[in-house]
Amino acid sequence: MSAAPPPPTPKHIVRSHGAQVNVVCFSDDNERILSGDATGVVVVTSTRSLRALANWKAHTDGILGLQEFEEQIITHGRDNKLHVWRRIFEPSRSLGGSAALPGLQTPQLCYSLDVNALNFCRLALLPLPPEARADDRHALIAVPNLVESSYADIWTLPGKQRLHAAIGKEGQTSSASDGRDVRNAIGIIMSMHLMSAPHPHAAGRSRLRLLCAYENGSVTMREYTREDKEVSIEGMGWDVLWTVKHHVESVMAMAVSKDSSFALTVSADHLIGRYNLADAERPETREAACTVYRTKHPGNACVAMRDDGRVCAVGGWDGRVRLYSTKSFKPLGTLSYHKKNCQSVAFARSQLQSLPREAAGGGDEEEDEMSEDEKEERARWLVSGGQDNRVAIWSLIEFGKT
Amino acid sequence: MENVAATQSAFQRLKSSCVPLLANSLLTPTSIPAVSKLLSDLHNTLAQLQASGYAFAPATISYVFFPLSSLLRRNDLPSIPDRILEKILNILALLSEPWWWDMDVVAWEQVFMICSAILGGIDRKGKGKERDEETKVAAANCLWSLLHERIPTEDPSSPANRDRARAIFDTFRKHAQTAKFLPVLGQTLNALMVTAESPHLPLQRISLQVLSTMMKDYLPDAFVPSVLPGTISSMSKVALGAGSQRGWANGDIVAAALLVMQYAIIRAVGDDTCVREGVVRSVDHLEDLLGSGSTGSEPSGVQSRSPYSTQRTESWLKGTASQLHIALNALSPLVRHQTPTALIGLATFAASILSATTLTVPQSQSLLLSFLLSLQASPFERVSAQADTSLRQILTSSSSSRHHILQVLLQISRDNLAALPRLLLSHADSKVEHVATMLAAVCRLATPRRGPPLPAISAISSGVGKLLGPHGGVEKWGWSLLSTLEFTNPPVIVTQTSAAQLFLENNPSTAHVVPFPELTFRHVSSQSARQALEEMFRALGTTAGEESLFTIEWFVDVGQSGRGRRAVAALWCACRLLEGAGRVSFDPSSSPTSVINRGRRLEKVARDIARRIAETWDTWEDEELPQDAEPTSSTDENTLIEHVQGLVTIRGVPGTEQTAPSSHPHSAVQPILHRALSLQLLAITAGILESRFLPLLLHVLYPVLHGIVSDTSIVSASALAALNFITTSTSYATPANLLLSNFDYALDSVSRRLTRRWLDVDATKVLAVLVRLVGRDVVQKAGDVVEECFDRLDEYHGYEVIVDGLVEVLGEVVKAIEEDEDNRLPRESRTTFRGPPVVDDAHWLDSFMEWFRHRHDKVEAESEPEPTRDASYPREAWGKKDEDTVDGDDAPAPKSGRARPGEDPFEEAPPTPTQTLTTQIVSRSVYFLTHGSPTVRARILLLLARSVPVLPESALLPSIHHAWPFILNRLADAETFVVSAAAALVAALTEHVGDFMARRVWDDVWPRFRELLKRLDRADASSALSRRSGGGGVGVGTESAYTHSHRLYRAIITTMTAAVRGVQPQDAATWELVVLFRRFLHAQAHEELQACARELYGALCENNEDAVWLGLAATLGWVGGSVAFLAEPKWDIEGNVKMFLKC
Repeated sequence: MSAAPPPPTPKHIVRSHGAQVNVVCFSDDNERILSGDATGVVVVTSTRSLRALANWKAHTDGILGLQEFEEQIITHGRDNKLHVWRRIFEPSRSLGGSAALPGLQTPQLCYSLDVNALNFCRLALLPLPPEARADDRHALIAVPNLVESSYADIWTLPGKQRLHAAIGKEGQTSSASDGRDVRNAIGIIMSMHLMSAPHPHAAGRSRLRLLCAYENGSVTMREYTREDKEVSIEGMGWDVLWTVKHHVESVMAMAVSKDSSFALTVSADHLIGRYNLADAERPETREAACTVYRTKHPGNACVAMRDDGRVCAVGGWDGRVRLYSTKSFKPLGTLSYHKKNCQSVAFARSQLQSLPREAAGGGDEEEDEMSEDEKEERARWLVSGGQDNRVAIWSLIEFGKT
Repeated sequence: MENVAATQSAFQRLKSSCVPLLANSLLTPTSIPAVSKLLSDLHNTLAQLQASGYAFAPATISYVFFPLSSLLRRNDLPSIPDRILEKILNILALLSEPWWWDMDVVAWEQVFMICSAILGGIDRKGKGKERDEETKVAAANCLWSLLHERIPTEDPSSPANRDRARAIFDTFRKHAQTAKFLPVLGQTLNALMVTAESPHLPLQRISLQVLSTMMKDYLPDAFVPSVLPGTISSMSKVALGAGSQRGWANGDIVAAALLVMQYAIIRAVGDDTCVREGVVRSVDHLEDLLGSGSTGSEPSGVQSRSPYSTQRTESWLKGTASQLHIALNALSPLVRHQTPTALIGLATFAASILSATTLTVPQSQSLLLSFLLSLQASPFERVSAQADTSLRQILTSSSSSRHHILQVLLQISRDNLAALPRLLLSHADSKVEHVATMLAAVCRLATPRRGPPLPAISAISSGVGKLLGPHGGVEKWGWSLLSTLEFTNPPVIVTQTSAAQLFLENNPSTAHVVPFPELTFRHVSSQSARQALEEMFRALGTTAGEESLFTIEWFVDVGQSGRGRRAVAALWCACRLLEGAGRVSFDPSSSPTSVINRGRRLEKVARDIARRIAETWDTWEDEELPQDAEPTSSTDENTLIEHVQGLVTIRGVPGTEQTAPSSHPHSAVQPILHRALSLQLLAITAGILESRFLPLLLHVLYPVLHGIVSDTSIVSASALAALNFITTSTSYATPANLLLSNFDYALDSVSRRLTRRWLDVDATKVLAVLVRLVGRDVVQKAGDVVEECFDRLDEYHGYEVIVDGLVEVLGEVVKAIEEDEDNRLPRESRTTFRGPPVVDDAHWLDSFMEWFRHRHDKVEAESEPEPTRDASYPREAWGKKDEDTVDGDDAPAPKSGRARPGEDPFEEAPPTPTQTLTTQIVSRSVYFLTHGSPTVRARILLLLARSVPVLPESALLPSIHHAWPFILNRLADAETFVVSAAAALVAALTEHVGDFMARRVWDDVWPRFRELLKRLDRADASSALSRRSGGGGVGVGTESAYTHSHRLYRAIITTMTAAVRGVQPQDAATWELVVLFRRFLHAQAHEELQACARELYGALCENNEDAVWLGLAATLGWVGGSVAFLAEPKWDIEGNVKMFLKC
């Protein structure tokens, strides 16, 4: 076995933020890195020039969630707003044009949604397949319930219709009618993931599922089983498939693999929970499906998974990002740069989604500024955002057959 | 009518000369002067008539001719004196011009013969005396007027008749070619050849003129081959100036001689003639091949009957052609003739021969082409244009010869390229230059010409493209070229700060065009040869365009594979080729006006190259020195050629082993050159990519900046040039602008080099130069720099080099902030302590009397504000004045609760970004006051001293207060320079925040200073460096201003001066000061210290003049009594004392 590679250093540091970075994520084509900070500023950084393409104050309070959805950017702030912006495009550089950089653009606001942000839970987005789309329904979005942060609502985008309200309410004992004075045992939702699962009986149809991670360290999978009604209230029709509680502290972050086969959770303790979603449904395999791994480092703030689901990155309160194999939880390496809490990590997309061609302004023009090798290398990038206002870009190795 | 009158008057005028001339037609010694005069008159008259446009009637001509003919007839020709003959011939020449049109053949023949005889000197056979040159010139002139062809419009009688001129000319020509006349013609030819070599310039000129017309028109076809060898030989002699003492001929003579040769060659062995005679066959069509049998038998032609003619046969042609080739080869020196006329003549010559003898003299084609190519590269515009035009015409002509010549051209290029390594090794500078120029000239043909639009030769560009393309075999020719293109290592001058850096510091804002430093080849010494080589590669690149990218990449590969001589040479080649292919020019004068469209592939390659250079920039230092295998392999390849330079080596014992290779003066690894060329290559890629280069700055900025801080001048100069070139290519105004706009990139790359993985010790220097280059504008970006520095300081605090570097960067930042005048805080009201008002001596009791009078008054006067603080107190309630404006504010409510910051003079203004930055620096740097390295401690102290003026008190004072014990301890530091730095900080603090420092100075600092002074005094006494006064007495301080003790003294005195000015001292302390610092007023002390001391005492005088007076007067011995012990006669302080004490 050859000597271990030297400790990696960040490939680049993006210093666009003036406050702690709360969220980072990649665009679907890896062309942009989106990052949001505690003052509500969102920065879109080009992965080519490593310069900000847009830098604007999207929210008056810190950013909770941030995601690019096709031509739009969805931002979720603690100012109880969810904004949908029109994505900006990289200004195409005309041949022989002047070197002066055009001023940064501010994306155009498409519409907004009022949400409850008195919690730490970021939105969960489910883009609908093309055949299921309607004019006012391109995607579903799950956010905490407007009044009670331990329940979830599901809205449509861009129609802004609330399809399901207060998911999670039904299963609870409704002994206290006023609802306020009873201590909620499970606490507020810390993280959510909305997905669709194939219908158990009818082919070609699917059911909505919502995976929630709670303040008390438990993870619950719910499914909407009512066939007759599309819209639900009071969490009716949402059946709990399973609930597992591994963590002793509240879940800080949850990541679901791209193929929705398993989920990972991290918390303030030193555990990483792994939930095999398919096996967890059956009571007999549930024990084996939901396992917990003990790491040596307590206090984890965020978790992200690579597209192929083989590698995960866990950002800790010590500012380090640790990489693990998702199968064996063998440590793959530690990325140490941030001096404070690492708030968010994100992997670049390794399987690029083919975007509609018309999107890229003068696509061919820009294409060859980056060679295929560079694009491959970029697909192995990882970004981490920390409390020290920095966004670090790391270039990882392949982790081939380990 | 008028015509008749004119004739009459002309006749009358001519008659006046002709009649007496006839009378004196028999020449006697007595009549010669008269005849001579008459002839002159006649000549003048004729010349006048001709000038006035008079049309000579045949009768008139006959009338004039008659006396002349009788003169010639009645006298024996040899006995006619030269002078007379010359005049006669001149008149004849004049006469023949119009006469030609009506001359009968006999007269023509007669005049021709007489001229020929005179020219050849046969008229005086046996006398052994030649006619003089003037006579011969006249004869040749006369011949010229007989022979030269007229154009129809010159016809005096009927210009409309176009055929007449032609007909007359043909008549004469036919007559000349008759067998009977041919000997005369031959004789004349011979005579002219002889005269053409005459040193007499007019004779030479006219002879060549006549020769050319004879060669062109009069000699029979069959006769020309007979005279060809002679003509060529004598004409080459003329053209080369072989006979003359100068060794070269005049330009027009060369051109004329070449013209004669050209006619002779074309007429003797021209394609047309030879094809007609069946010597060679022109194959233009398939039919030509079919008829191969029939043409062979034809040659035994009619002309064989002529006794003087030469039969053209294949063997004859072969022989002639090879002889001709030798002759043409001999003309090579003409290419470097000084006059453009000769060069144009040569170009015409070469071009005509080339196009007329493609079939017959193939072996000379390459030679002639090389003439044309060299001429095309001539510095004379006309010559170059002429050669270029002819080449293009030849290469685009419709005839089949075009392909053939093109082949030859490409062959030349190939041969030249192949010969280049050998020539380089043999140090044949001129040959190298020649070869390089030719290749460049070939390449130039591939692009269309702009002036008069001429087509491009596409075949050349495709040919060169093939050569440089994937199938061109660069792997083969490249290696041999690279092994010979060696560069000499530049003289290494290691300086602490590079020249470029100094340059930047002098003038950071102006953008100068900085040239890249010139590199010297090992095997090429002349400047012109080097330029030719550069030009050649550039032209190759331009011609091949994108096809050359393969070769460029290959060279870059080789260049990146090591740091050896070959790699350096490969980089150089890549630079030049890319320059050509990308049409980038470092020359500022040749800025292209039009936008050059460069291909996608080119840009891609350029981008790749830039990335590669940037990526490999760091790696090389770890690399091992290449093994010694390389030099041996390189010598193996060139064993054939040995160039010995310098002294002849003498072998000690013959036969013994002496193969120990002489120590190579050029080391195999040339990292400096490699760097310099890499920077050049970067600049070229920037020139290609222009504004698209911007994203690459992320990678490229670090190498460039790193180059600038290099301690070898060639690298730093290259880097500076590259930075400037990149700046202009990416259309920034100045390098500072470029760096400022791309500060994030630069900082990113520097911070990357400061990580444990990529640690580069020079990175801090790069950061420092970055800050310095950007200058004042850095302030807005400096937060990141400072952050970065402290992060790294935390990480590397144990490594002195890095800490030192980082602290230096911080110093740069503070300096940049300091330079910004806006950051100077207006602190006047608090900084200067004003002592009690100076009272005039006459009135000094007044105030006492005043006080005495009022001492029992009530104390209401006490409430009045102190006079010293008048200005700083407001006279009315705070905020009252600005009430109205504040009310207009959008949010007055939240403000009303507390005092408004802007209106309270004692509340600090909100900190500006600069101040926040400095605060950051100060608060984080105080921890380093106890750093293990004294330099770091000193630097931090100086840094703090620097930041004092720009910091708001609210930020500064807590830090200082917090760090005060550390600062005090530094005053007791083991290293003197740390102590002086600490003293400087205290001085700065006292100067700017006096009231804050008041207690501290007198309580904490002064006792330490006192100790210090005493210690230093003792140390000086035993120091070898201490200053001795002239009279053998003890001096004060040290001799030099560059000792630590001197600096410390200076720091202490300035601190105390500031303290006295800024802080109200206690009387005891004042007295101590007065006593202790006396010695610095000693006239033998260092001048600088004296000046400082005077300053100090000046400040003390403002405060307590009496104490100063007492102390100093006692020292001088003016005052006795209780202070007599102060007298120090060994100190000569009187001069200084008188300067500030009014006594």
